[in-house]
Amino acid sequence: MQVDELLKPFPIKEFHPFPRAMMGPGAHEMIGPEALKLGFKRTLVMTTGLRGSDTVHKIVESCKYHGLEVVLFDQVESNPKDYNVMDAVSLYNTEQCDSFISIGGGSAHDACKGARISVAHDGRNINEFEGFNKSENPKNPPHIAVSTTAGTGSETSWAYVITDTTTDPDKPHKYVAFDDASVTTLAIDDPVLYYDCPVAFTAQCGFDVLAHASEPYVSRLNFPPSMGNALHAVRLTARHLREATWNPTELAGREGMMYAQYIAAQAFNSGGLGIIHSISHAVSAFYDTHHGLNNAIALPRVWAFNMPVLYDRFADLAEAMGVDTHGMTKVQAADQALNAAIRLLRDVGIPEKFTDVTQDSHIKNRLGTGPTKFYENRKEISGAPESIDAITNHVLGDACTPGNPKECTFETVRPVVDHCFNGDLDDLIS
Amino acid sequence: MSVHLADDTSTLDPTVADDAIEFTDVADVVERFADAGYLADQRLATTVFLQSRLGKPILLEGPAGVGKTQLAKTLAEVTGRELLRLQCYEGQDETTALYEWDYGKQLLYTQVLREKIGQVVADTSTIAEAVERIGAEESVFFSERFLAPRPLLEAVRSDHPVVLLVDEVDRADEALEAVLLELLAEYQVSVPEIGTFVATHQPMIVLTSNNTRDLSAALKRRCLHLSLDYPEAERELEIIKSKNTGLSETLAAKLVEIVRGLRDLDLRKAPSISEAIDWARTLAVLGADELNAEILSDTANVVVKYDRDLTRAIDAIPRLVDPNAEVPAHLHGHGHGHSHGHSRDHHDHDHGDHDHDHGDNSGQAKRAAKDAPGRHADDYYGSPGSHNDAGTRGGVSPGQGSRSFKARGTARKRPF
Repeated sequence: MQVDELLKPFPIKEFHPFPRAMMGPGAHEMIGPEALKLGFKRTLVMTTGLRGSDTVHKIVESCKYHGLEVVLFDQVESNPKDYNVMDAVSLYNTEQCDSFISIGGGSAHDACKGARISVAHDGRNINEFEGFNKSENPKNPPHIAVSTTAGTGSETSWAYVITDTTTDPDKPHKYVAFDDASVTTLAIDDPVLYYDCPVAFTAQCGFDVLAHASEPYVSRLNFPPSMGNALHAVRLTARHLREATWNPTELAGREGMMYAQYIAAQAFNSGGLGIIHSISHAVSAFYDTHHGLNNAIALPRVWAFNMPVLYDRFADLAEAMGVDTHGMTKVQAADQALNAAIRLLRDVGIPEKFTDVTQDSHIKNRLGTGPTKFYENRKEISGAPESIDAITNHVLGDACTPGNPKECTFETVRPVVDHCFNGDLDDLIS
Repeated sequence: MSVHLADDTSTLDPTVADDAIEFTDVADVVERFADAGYLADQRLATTVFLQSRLGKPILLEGPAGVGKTQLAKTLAEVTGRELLRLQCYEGQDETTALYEWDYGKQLLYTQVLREKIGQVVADTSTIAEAVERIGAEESVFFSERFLAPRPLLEAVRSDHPVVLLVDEVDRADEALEAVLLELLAEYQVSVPEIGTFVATHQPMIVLTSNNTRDLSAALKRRCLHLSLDYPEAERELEIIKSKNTGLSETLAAKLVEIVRGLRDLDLRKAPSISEAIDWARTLAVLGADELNAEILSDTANVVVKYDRDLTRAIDAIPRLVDPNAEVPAHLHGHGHGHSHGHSRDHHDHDHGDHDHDHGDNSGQAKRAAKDAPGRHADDYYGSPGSHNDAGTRGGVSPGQGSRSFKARGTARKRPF
């Protein structure tokens, strides 16, 4: 074997830029003034609608008060679809807007990033930009991203995730596009906006943070600039997720999760991800389930799968999760990390496997208006062998898979996916 | 060769014909260029004719390989002039363009004349006096004898008519442009120690530029300006035919089409005319009797010289050869073949049986390819492979994305 073959996995790492961010309780008051400072005149607000809360209404009114003209597009679905993006692009063009504001979780931000990229390329289909830095025109409309969930991190990352429903309508494909041009102009992180986030939703988004933080810490791309972020985000999540879930209107827990989600995104922005996300994207593509929920269910299985390669790293995670590892071997400590993660998952009341996800919870697409057509037409979650095969294939092609610390082949990954659907978490507890 | 002092104001009458062969009219230019194997179009021929009449330099701008340098060579050939060539490069200074003092020769002469110099200063008593004495003689050493002329001065001093080609003037820096200005305007070169050389035969000057930077307005003002671009299809075919490449006319016509298709791709370096000619020769040597995608892909490296371009070209060639090959239509706006308006309610996507604009299985095939393991290897998270695009992300037409800030220009002013 050639030496350079041995050195091949990513000898040169890239650190990706992050946008300016305004954080803390009350930061959302700055949207109007900051938009004016950036030269917004007529802005397209992209959101899922956040029905059941008046967040969007308040922000839009505040923008109008500051003198912005606002066009509202509130048709973004959960797991944003390519047609959501293209609709937004044509609305942007017909209304002659000059800028974007996205309000919501990852769905709103990602759809908005996609729309910006498409606008900058004269309305080319967003599916053409899948992959890494595929956009050719670095100049796209300015974008302020306002987060209302503590999970996405999309307001500060260079990645956006879109579901391709048109290339092959019978097999939707959820892909990640990484693009430095998609980085927002300004991120607004205000824990006060999280108060209305429903309990189940908060818990699931919190696990998205745990996945964002733990994956770069062990990924093949891990490097010192993202490690501190990763560990501290795990620490904050372990400390604050329970309070944020069960005491939704208390600042302490919400604020802790706000910082956790931001720095976790900073960690994976340059440190890469792994197959927690690959599995999560695949399941969303097939069943349109919530990204955070998928991550929560996949996380313990993938930790167990990757652990043998990196016991010492998982021992660090155990410490960050709040385990007293004094006197333990690395292996024992790593096991405790997994136990702590499962404990956290049960504490915040998340389903333990995909076949348990039957309830079409109210958090489904577009709060309060019920599920979308796409969701109604999704397949039933059965856990049947052929669906496991299809999901495993989706995982192997995902852009997050090469970052996984353990080599992924169909044979090695399939049992992990199968366990996510049909296995019991108790198998993993030691 | 005549030397005038700097205050001499005599200039050339540009309309006075040199003993070179003059063009009678534009048609004459076309004809004589064609005889020399250069197919000039009307615009180009007109410019050349005007140059011969007005005595102004020509500035040719355009991409590499459209026949800019060739034009100068042909011009020299048909007018029976000698061709002098100045190849510009970055960091060039006037010593390589204008003239240099031949220092070695000067030194040699002083060594040989040591005794003579000794005699001249023999009767001086102080150093100051000796220096004064030698100073009176120094013009000897700064005379034409010790001048090493470079192309620009050569063109001015030449005792027979010449064509001066200043090639790729955009590569040189502004300093050299300034040096050129005097020559272009007055056909003269000043050498401070001697005086000003004025051309006896007005040189025909051709400057070429690849537009790697903007030339100064002063330079452009002095020239007849002509932008050469890739020729029309028919003319390009004519050119290829005239070069006797050995490729049959039908195949050459097809090839021209394909080359033009490649130029429409977003390549770092589009195929030039000369490369198209090379391609025709290559295919003729290989004995191609039909142009299929296979043989074109195998020989595409003749016309595209960058790895990234090559992959793009090879992707595109099947489509260029057979436009009916299955390619997803480039859909604008709504890339998802559903028709729905912008009513603010749900879309009716019944995922089962709606027909797509493109072929029956192409979507499925594309989708299946996305399950392939390792398909992101090349540009994963900005690994080194992804930087072959570095700096060329500007494959963007000037108008692209103009709508990003459309409203800015037209926004109403607020009254307060």
